[in-house]
Amino acid sequence: MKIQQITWPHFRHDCSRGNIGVDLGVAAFRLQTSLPDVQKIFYQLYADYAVVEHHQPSDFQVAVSLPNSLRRWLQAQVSFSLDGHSPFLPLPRSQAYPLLEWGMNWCMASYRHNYLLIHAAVLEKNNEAIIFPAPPGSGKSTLCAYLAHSGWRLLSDEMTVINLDTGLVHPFVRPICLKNDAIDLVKTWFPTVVVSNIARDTAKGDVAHVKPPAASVIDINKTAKIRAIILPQYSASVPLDIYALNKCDAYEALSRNTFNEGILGIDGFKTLSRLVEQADTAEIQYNDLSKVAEFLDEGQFKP
Amino acid sequence: MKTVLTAKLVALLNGHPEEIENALQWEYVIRVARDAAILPRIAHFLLAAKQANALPKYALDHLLAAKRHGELLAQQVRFEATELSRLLPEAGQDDMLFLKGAAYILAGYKVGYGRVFADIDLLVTKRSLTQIERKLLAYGWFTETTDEYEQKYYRQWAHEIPPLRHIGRGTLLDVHHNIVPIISGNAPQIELFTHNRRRLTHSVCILSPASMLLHSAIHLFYQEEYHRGFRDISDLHLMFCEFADDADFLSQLITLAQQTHFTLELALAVRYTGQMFDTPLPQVQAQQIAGFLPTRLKLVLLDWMFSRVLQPHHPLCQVPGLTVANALALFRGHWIKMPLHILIKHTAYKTYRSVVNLIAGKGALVKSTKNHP
Amino acid sequence: MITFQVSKRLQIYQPSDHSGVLVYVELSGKTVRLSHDLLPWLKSIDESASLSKKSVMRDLNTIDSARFDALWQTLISEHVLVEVDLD
Repeated sequence: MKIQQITWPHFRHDCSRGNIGVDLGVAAFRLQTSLPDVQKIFYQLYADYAVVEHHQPSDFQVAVSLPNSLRRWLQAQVSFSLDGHSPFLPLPRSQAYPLLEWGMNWCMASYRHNYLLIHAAVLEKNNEAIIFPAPPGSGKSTLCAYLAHSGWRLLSDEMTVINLDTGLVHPFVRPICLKNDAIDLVKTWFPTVVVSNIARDTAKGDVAHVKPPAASVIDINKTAKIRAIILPQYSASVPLDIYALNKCDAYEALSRNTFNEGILGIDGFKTLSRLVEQADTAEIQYNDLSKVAEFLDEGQFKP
Repeated sequence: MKTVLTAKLVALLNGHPEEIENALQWEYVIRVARDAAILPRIAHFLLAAKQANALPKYALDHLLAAKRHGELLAQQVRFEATELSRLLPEAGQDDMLFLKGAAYILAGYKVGYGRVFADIDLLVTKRSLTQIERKLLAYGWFTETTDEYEQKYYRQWAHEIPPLRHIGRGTLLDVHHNIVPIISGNAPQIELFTHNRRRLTHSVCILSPASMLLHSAIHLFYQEEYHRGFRDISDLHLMFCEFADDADFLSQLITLAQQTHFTLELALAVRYTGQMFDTPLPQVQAQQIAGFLPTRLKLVLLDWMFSRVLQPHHPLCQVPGLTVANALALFRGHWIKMPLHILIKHTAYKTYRSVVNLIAGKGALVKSTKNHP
Repeated sequence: MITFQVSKRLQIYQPSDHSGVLVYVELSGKTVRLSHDLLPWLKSIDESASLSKKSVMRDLNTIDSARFDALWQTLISEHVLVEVDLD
């Protein structure tokens, strides 16, 4: 059964009681919130996802709620919690939905050490996946949103999940997080995509989430082999320039962006080494997404 | 009377995963174990057993991940011990004596497998304390507590230095020169505990098994807050199991408890590990130790309180009466460590802080170094 | 003389493009990047061998002294080489 098959009143009722479970492939989340805006956006963006039934176990039990202090009303705040514990300080009430998404990422990064977890986007075409590790400001999310709606299967926009034994990437499909100008750009390019409300003045600026393509969600358990590691850097003046990236530099770029390398110890080292050795590596500077898509389609990554 | 989930956790600690009835119960047991800080420990024992392959994938995933957490801590402790080995002898400290979690891991005891802890505890001599603090501060360690009140509490009342954090690695180091905060005047003579220390390397020592166990028992029964109570009582159970093979161990333990006047704590340790885990102990010594228990009414009260606070506190697992039991434990913990007039001041200040947080919101009194998502 | 040993259970990754050598140090849990030409020396060290700054300099005689000093500093501070325990 999918989330969209639950009626809206039933969903609201169950969500307030913490009885909405959603299957994200590598992890199952159970959500509790009585906040109507969070319920509404979640119901929209996760419509295509499979439900986790009441008797099935969930991996993370998350909640978004108003705090029990005067901050419930004065300069209202909102809190995220995992199984009753809040790992962060509260945020302004208007940022409730992004807080849920960031909290879910935090749960994975803090506990799901069955996998190597990299702060990177990953998409696949013709059974070959490309990882785009990138710190904020690289344009990764916009690039990801563009490719996801241009024939590439979205595996993840934020968190690349690598199996420690097989080296394959597991999908962790989630709503795509867009910031600032990217929000309007994506709405213009793809008028039919579903976009959440915009949360203003967050630590990342204006933030909105885009519903992932249904086809990507259906394939949420389909792994892929990594073909290439591409470091993207948005540049206002360059349509597309491609640079060689040697394997040690690629290793370091991935390592800098790995959430749980420390805790994985030697297994993290071995998995990253294998990944870098087997994949082609390159760096790109770009402002023309269609040119980037062409380059990726060609599949020639060696200089 | 254990709750269902407490009983299941005990079963897991004793190597019986088949006692978990269904997939959803695995979820509950894992959540409770994680909250009680014993998931890495359970993971270690279950994954080492022959039936590890028969565990359901859901459980296996969480256990494997938790085991890594334990391994990371163990690696960090070994690394810090190596680094401190080089640093502290120069500060006039002949050797370092590690306590509690760090000690269990460095010694390779079963109680150290998957043992989770927040800081590394080090025992040094009182006279070298100041010099050691200076040395640590010069080498990348800084005082974690910037709150003036807490600093005063540590230095003046507990006669300790506040915990230190390493600027690069983030490790927390707690340097003690005594085993129990000595405000109450019940300070144990340190030498009785440390005179037959075990040497692990040329500069790293730990307490003898008898001293280690008694120290753990004193620590447990001198606390005010018991959210780690189940973990701590399981520590004692594992130590009894590992050390009681040695014929001399129990007589040394009893003698030490008598010499240091901590026979009550030893008796409570035996009583409650027995009730929780059925910890096996030789009849003769068990009876001798039971002789140290208090008179009936006092024992009834202690039993009522500890049978509750020593179970996991997670909402899925809570025993009826836990709130009251926690309040009693809080009072008792302060009472036995502090003279009354200081207790009142301390309680008043802590209450003030709670009220501020309640009204102005969590984090109002915190300098914002805490995580933002 | 201060003697050193190589850190126990070093793991080495040698990328096929010869862009360097990555060494995982179990003691610190960190990965260190070294230049590719050090690979033969790294692979040749015996875990039980006693090393000194002089002996390593001899083994790496193709490296100039300025580079060696920097390298030595890296090997020590990153715990690739550790002081022998005075047991």
